[in-house]
Amino acid sequence: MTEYSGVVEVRLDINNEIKKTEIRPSETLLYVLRNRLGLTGAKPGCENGDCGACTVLIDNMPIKSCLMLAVEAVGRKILTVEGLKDAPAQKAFVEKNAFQCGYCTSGFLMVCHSLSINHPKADDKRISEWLQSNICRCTCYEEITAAAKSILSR
Amino acid sequence: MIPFDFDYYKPSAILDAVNLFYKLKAENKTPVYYGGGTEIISRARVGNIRFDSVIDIKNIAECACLNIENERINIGSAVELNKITESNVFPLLADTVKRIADHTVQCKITLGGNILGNIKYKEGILPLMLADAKVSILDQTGRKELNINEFFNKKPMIEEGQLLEKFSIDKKLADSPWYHCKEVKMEKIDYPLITVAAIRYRRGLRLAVSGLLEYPFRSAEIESIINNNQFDLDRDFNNIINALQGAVIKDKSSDKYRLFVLKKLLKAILREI
Amino acid sequence: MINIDISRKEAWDKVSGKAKYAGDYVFPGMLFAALYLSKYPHALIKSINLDKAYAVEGVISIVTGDKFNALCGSVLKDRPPLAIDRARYYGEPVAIVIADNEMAANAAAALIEAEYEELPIVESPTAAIMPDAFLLHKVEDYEKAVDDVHPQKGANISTKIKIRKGDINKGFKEAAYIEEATFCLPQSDHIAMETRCAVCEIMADGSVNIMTSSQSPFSVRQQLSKIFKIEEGKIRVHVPLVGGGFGGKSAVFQEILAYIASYSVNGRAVKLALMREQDIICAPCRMGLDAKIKFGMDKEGYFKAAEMVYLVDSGAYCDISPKIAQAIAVDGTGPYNIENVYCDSMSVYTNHPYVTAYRGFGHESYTFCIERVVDKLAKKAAMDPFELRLKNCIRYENFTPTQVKLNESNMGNLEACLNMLKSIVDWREDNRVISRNDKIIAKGISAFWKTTNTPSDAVSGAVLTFNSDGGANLTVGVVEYGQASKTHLAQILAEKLSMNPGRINVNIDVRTENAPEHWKTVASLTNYLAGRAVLNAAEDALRQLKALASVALRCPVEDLDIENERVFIKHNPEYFIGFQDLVHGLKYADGNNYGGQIIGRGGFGMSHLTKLAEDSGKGKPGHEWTTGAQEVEIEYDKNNHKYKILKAVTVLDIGKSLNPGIDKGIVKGGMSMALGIGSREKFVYRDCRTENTSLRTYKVYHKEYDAPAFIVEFVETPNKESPYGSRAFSEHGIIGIHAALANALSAAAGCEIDTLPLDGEAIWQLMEADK
Repeated sequence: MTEYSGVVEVRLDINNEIKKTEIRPSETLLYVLRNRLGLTGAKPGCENGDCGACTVLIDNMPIKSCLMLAVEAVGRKILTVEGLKDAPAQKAFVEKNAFQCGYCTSGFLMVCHSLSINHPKADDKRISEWLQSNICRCTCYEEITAAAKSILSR
Repeated sequence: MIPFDFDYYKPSAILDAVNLFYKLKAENKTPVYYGGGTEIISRARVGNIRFDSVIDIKNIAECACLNIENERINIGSAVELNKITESNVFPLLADTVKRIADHTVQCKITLGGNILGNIKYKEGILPLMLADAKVSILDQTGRKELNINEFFNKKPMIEEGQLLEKFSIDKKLADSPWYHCKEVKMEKIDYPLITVAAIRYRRGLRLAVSGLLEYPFRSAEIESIINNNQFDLDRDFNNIINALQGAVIKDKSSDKYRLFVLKKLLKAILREI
Repeated sequence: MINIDISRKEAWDKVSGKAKYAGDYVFPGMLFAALYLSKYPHALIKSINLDKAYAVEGVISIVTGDKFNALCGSVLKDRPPLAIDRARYYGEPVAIVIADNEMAANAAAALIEAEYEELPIVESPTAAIMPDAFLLHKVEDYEKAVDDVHPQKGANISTKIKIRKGDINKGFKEAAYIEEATFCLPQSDHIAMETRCAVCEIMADGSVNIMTSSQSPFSVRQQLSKIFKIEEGKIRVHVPLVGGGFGGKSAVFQEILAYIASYSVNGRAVKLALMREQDIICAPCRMGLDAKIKFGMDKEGYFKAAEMVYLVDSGAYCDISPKIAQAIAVDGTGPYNIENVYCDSMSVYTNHPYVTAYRGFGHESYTFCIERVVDKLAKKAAMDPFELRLKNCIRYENFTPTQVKLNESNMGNLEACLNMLKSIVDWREDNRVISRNDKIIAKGISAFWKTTNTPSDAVSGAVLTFNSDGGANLTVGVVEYGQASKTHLAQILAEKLSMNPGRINVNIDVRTENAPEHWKTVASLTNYLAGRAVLNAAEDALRQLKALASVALRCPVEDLDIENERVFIKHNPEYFIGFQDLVHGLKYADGNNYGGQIIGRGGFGMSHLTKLAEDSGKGKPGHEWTTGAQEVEIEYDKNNHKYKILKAVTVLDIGKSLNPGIDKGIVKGGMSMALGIGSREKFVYRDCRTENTSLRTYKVYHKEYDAPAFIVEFVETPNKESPYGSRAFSEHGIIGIHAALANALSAAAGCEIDTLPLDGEAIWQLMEADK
């Protein structure tokens, strides 16, 4: 049985690198990414699972990292916005002006990236369902939707 | 950030989990079983709950099962909602859980967590009520199998330390004509004003509702009113109201409006199935 | 370089996680602060017990209000940074815990125990101005931070603005139709995605380093200087990218608390990052409005008289509310030509959370009231709501309520906006309301205007330096929170220097110690205020470049022109010299250097603005009025009273769009916020306690499957004093959309819908009441 108590050292597979770090079992993945690993692309917009600004991919599926303990992510593949390298979603977001202040952008990008991996032919309904997980306060979502559609082979 | 420390255990054997719970308890610890953890984390953050040990059950094969065996559908308590939706083994359940929280959170919330959590709506239970699901629970004395109405009556009938293992559903019932509708105040991603789930089985209509009373329910009395040959919604709606076992929720939306919405939904159900 | 689509300067940083916001920075040895907030909306704080909190390992200090007996406020100094003896709203900061880790700070804050004695609560501005209302403040004792604020002695009123134009009695006598209506619009919140955050460190010499998520770094410097008696130059404010502001981060708030926290631990660096729940209940929010409107119209359909009472619900402290009340007063007739105007606009204390600037600066509130009244008048006189607006819309040569004469430079062309809107939405008598079985498709429109309401002495500045390869660096004091100012300013500079905007680097972070002062990044004013400064800096650099080039090219200065980083002789362009050979001095083959470094400097300040006369309101509150017209089309379901928004349209006179793709997106963002205000956003109070304290229960607009079509078109009537004719436009998309929504719904449902927000239940209630 896996067991963690007190301050423990774990190995996390993040962006195809194995990161050794000390954590406490009560720390969320969001906290560990930001405060222990310096990966601040995931944002603490609400820490309640409502806004999606902290979304990362766990085994290619979107997860709100504020609602996951870091210990839960041990042994799984974590992808954060910092792990994207010229991904189609990034280019699409730039081309479509799919952000203003940029604070929600990492989260939306990760949702779109996951969508393109898991449902490359997603229809409008599925695109909406996935994008509804996140809040953007600056745009009207039109540009984000256009960016999402542009990277799917529809 | 959760403002307190706890230990984390992730057993793979179901008995290890149960035994660990009682062992920690005996050591005067406060353990909790942990599925998706979405509610545990958010409530812990704001200081609504406190515990010192977490027993994550997601590695336990029985709790993570999602299959069909001998014409019965098995869904473990630690199965994430999005997996239920994608598998579509029980279409009514798939549709119901697809409207709990949002898609990303559905990748984390488990069926057991939705039903055992603190939030009153527990919409995941509605299809299970309609399909006469069997519920298996483990404790120190062994495994028990309960009927859904034994397991859930206004609240889950589960004692501290008991582990919810899985639900098992007769495929025939799961394949019956069904209807699901969640009405919200305005924003789609929200708690329900009213959620109704219904199936038609052997010509009888079965109906379960969340958002109307303080707890989700299925009422034999209301079903007998609706299944009466002479049933007329406009005339008999008051009888349905009178058959309610508790007060209609008033916060966020008025009780009268919730009843107005309920009536519209009943009309739709009668039209659709 | 103007009117072209280029990406934001910081675009790739924002899609790679590299863009940094205040909360992303960590400093060695940094401590963490957590707030303990009032549990009552109005109470005396009898005692505070800190024993249990201090017992938490890692806690270093806890500060309560009695330790800092100073009042703050940018208009009227009425607010203690930490409540002293008395809390006036639920969620008011009462104590700050400082600990060496975040967990300890939060755990300790939860263990603070205070004993309260409840006081009567004031639940609305209308109740607050009743003669027997409980007084929340002794306003007459407060020091004014500006001289044009008028607190009313013995009342819960922090300012009262009077507009008296023409003869109101005469106006109503000429009226054949009179329409009166009252409105109570709720408070709501900015919900910028980044919650407020500040990190403060006090150096050994007493100087202060603050990093903060603020729209107003120079106000932070000025206010801290005044409150804590520190020389301004000793306060260094650093603002990196900001995750949305919408006015909410123009108030100086978390910085004061962070300073107090750092001070209590001998100046060590302390970070105060508000949790979302605290950002919602504790930090300043958006105003509520109680209004009474009376319009008189003659037989031909001309507005003859307008009488308005506006009560801004400022909450427990006034912050900038007196200025919002003033902004409402100066434009409070809506964009209509009315000769006889009588308006009292007040900011009023209640026991709600206190408010600050919000996108629209009050216009998004009063416009709802006016535009509903205009539709009611149209209905009463059986006129087309569009024709009625067109007939009365304000035009050149007309006078505003504060008696400013309008011309085609200082105001957009509203008539042109209305006409363009009419053709875009195909507005016709026979298709305004269409019934299809249980569904009704209906259109509603609104018109708006807004002036900038800046202090008459607001300033900006720009510094321009060059690199040895000829590229340019622009330094401004403008904060970037998504409005694309850095990109717009690069375009303005690029156009002026005839160079590629990609070769212009603009400082993203603002540091007050080296950026020239920029009043505040608010009021959609940056392209004008900072843009003019940039043009001045460019002129200054051009003059220097030409002077030096004239030496190099051995020709008179007037023969020279500049393009693509080259200075060349106009009639003989093959004679040229590149910027790289000029900007750090002219280099001769023998090693001589002449001319030093070229640095362009540009300052700019508002001019010709005046304070309003106290008795009549006469005065000039802004340099221009932006105008626009909006439409919302809905599908309403008669059976369940739910509705779907099909389309939202804005036509706005932007003067000149610098970057149409980005500019339209910004306007659409405002429209989306307005649909939120129109359909779901408000604070729910139970006895003045905020109930919807998280994004789970405070709902903002999400992506929808059947999302409305957002359409934005621009009219372009140049403002002659603004860079390339551009007008303020960034916040304006929000102003009239919810009014258009209510007008559409009223037409569809056949009842008068004067409340917000409008969900199915709200309309059902009105229909039930009508029965």
